[in-house]
Amino acid sequence: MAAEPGRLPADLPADAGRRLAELERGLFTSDLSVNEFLLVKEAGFHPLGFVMGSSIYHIGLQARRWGRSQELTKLTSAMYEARELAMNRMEEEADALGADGVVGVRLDVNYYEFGSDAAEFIAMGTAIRAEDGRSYRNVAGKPFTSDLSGQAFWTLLRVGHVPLGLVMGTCVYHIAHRGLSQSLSQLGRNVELPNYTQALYDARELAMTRMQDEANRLEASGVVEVKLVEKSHTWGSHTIEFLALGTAVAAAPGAPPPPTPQSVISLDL
Amino acid sequence: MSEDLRAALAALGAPPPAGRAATSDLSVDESLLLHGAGFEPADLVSGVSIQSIPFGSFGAVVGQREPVELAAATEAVTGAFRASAERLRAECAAAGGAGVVGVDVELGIGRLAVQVSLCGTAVRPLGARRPGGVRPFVTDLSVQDYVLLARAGFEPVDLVSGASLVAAPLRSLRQLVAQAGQNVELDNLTRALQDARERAMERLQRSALGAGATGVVDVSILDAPLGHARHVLAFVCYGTALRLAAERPRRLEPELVLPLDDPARAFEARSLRTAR
Amino acid sequence: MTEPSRTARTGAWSSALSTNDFAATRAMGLQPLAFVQGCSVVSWGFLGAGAPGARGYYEQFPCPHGFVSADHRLYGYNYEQTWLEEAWFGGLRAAYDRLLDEARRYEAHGVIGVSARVERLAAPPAVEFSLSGTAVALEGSAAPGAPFTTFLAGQKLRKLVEAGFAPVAIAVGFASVGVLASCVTEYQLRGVGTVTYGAAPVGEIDQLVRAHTQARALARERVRDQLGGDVLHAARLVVREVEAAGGPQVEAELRGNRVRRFKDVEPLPPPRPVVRLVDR
Repeated sequence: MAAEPGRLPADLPADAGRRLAELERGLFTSDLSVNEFLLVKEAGFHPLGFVMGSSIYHIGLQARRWGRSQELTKLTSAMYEARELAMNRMEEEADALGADGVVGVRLDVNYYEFGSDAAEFIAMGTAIRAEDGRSYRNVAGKPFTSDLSGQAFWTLLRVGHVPLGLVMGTCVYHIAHRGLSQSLSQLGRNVELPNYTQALYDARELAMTRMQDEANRLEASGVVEVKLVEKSHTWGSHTIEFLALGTAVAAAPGAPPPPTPQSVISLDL
Repeated sequence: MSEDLRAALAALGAPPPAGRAATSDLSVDESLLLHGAGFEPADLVSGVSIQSIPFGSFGAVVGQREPVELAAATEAVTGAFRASAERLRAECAAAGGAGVVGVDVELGIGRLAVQVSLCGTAVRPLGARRPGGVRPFVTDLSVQDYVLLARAGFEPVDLVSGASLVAAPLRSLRQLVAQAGQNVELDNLTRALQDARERAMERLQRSALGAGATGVVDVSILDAPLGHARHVLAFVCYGTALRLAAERPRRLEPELVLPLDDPARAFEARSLRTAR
Repeated sequence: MTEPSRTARTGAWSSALSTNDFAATRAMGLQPLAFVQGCSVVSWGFLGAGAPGARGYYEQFPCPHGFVSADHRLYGYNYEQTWLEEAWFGGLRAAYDRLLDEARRYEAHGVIGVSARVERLAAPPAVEFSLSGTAVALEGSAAPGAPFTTFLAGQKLRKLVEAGFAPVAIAVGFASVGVLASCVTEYQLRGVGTVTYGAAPVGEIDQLVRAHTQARALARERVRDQLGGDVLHAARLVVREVEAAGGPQVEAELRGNRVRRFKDVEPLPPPRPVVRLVDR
C-alpha cells in the first residue's frame, strides 16, 4: 500500500514526497484529456495523480570495429538502464500513492546543451486506482504501466482484458561500413545491401525478442500496440538504437463477453 | 433549407433588434452545444499580463557548479498567469458572465519579460445575468469538454499553473559529462532536474488546492530550454482545476461504435500511387 | 474601377469554394455566380492629426524619480494612433465597397467564404487590403437591399442558418496603441536606461499592460459599433507588437461574422457520447 511520505525510496527527490502527500489527501492531477479522464472513470478507476521519473545518463560510444555489424552491448545496457531508472522512479511514485496502475505513459528523451553525450530520459503518466477495491497489480506486485490512452484502456477492459505492464526491448546496433572494394564493384547497379539488410533484421529481432521475454515474465497472453522505433540519438548514422515498446495484456478472470459494437457511417466530410 | 434561407434574407431587410450585442469566438457547433446545456455566450473577453524579469537573470553566474532555480523568473511566470486570469475574470464579471470557456493561452518567456495572454468567451445562463457574489470560473477546456464534464457532475473552478525555471551552468556541466565514466547515470544532474519538475507540479497542485478544487485535468506541460537562453530550462504546467458539483460523479455510459468509413484518400497526380 | 471582363449570366462561373463547400452551398439552394474581389492600398501620415492625445486613448506614466536629466524623460505615455486607424479603416472600407460593387454587378444576394488579407508593405509604409469571396444568389428570391457578406461557407454557413441566424456582414475592428516608454518602462523592457536601481523592479510592466488591454478593448468597441443590435459570431482576435523608435506599438485586430437571429430554435437534445473503434 501507500508508503509514508517521510519514507520514500531514496532516489526520489524530497519535493516529490510533499507533492505525493498532497495527492494522497484527495487532490488529483493528470495530463489526461477530459475524454480520457471520463473514460478512465467509466472503466471503474479513479485518477490519483501525475507521476514521473527521470534519469540523466551519459551515453557515450563504445569502441567498435568499423567493418563489422555487431550489437554494442554496453550501449544497449546503458539505454535500457536509463529508461528502466526513469520508469522505476515513476512506478515508485505510483506505488507511494497506492495506485493500481499508470496509464498514458510517455517516454521522452531530452537532449540538452550539456554536451552531446548526455541525455535525459523521462517517463510520465497518470496513476490510477480501481474504485472497487480489487487489486490490479501485476505478478511482480507492482502497479501496471501502459502507454495506452484513456480510450484504449477503457476499450481493453470492455473486451475482458487487463494491462499488466509496459514491456520494452532495446538493442543498439552498429552497422558495418562497406569496404571500399565492395562499394566500387557495386557502383551503378540496383542491388540489395546485404550488410544493412542483415544488420537491421538482426537488430529488430533482438529488440522484439527481449520485449517478448519481458512479457513472458509478466505471464501475459499477448502484447498490444507494439511500436518499433529507430533512433540514432547523438551517435551518427551507422549506430542505431532499436526500441520495441508495447503493453502486455492478459484476459481478466470472470470477465463478461465483449459487447457488439454498432456500425455507423459518419456523414461529415 | 431554402425556406430558412428565404426567411433569413427577409430578416436582413428588417431593422436590427435592440439590446447590447454579444460577441463570441465560438463556432456554430460549440454555440449549439452550449445552448443545449442551458448557456449562451455573453462576450469575448481577454486578459493580459506582462511581468518583468530582473536584468541579467539569464546570464551566467560566476562559480556556479550546480543547476539553480531562478526564483524571480519563476515568480514572473506564475504571477503573469494569475494576473491575466484576474483581468479575464473582471471582464467576464463586467459582461454579466458566469465564467469563461475555451480560453486560448499564449505564453511567451522573453529575455526581460514574461507575457501571458488569455482570450475566451464569457458565458451566462440563458437569458439571465450571473448571480452576484459568485466568482466567475476560468477554463481552457473547450465547450465540448465543459459540457461533458457537467454531465459527469464536475465543474471548472480556475486556470492554475506552476513553474520552475532552472539555470544550468553549461561549462561546468560539460566538464562533468566529459569526466564521467561512459554510460553511467549523472546523479546530481538527474536530481536537480527531477527537483525542478516536481516543484513545478507541486506549485500547480498547491494553487489548485488554494482554489478549492479536487483535481486538475488536461494539464499542458512545457518542458524545454528557452530559445534565447539555451542553458535555462523552463518547466511550466497549467490546466483547469475542477471540483465536484454533484454529490458524486455521474456515469456517462458511452456506446462503442464501429465507423464504416475510411479516411479520405489523397491522389497524387504525379505518380500512380495513392497515399493515405 | 474598370468593368470586370467576366460576365455572370453567360458562360461559366468560377469560385474559390472547395468541393465540399460547393456541394453544401448548392444543397442550401444557393447558386454561385462569380468569384469577386476588392482591394486597396493605403499609406498613412500623421500630419494634421494633432499632438498625440488630441483624440482617442491617451494615458501618461510620470517618472517617479526626483531628478530629471537631458536624457531622462519627465513622463512616458500611451497614445492611440488615430491617424493610422483612420487610414486602416479607410482602406478596408474602400476594398469592401469594391467587393460589394462587383457582387451587385452580378446581381448577387450575398458573398460567402470571404477571405480578408491585410498585409503591411515595408516601403513605402503602407497597408494592402485584399478581400475576395464567392458571390451567390438564392434561387427564386429577390435581392436584399445590400448583399450580405460572411467569412463562413458550406457546412458552417448551413449550420448557422439552421441554428436560426442570418448572416449580415463581416465585421472587422482595428486599434493601434503606441507606447513612448517612461523611464521605468524603458528599464524594464530593455534592461538599460538612464536609471539604475539598487534592486531591479520586478512586477508588472504597467505601461505595456495598459497598452495591450486598451488595444484589445478598443478593437472590440469598434466591432461593437458595427453590430447595431446584432451578434458577433466565430470571432478571432489577433494582437501584434511592432517595434518602433520610441517603443513598441500594439495592434489588435478583431474579425468575425455579424449575424442576426431570425427565428427561435429549440435547444439540441444532449448528444450521445460514443467511443469510435478507429485509429487516428
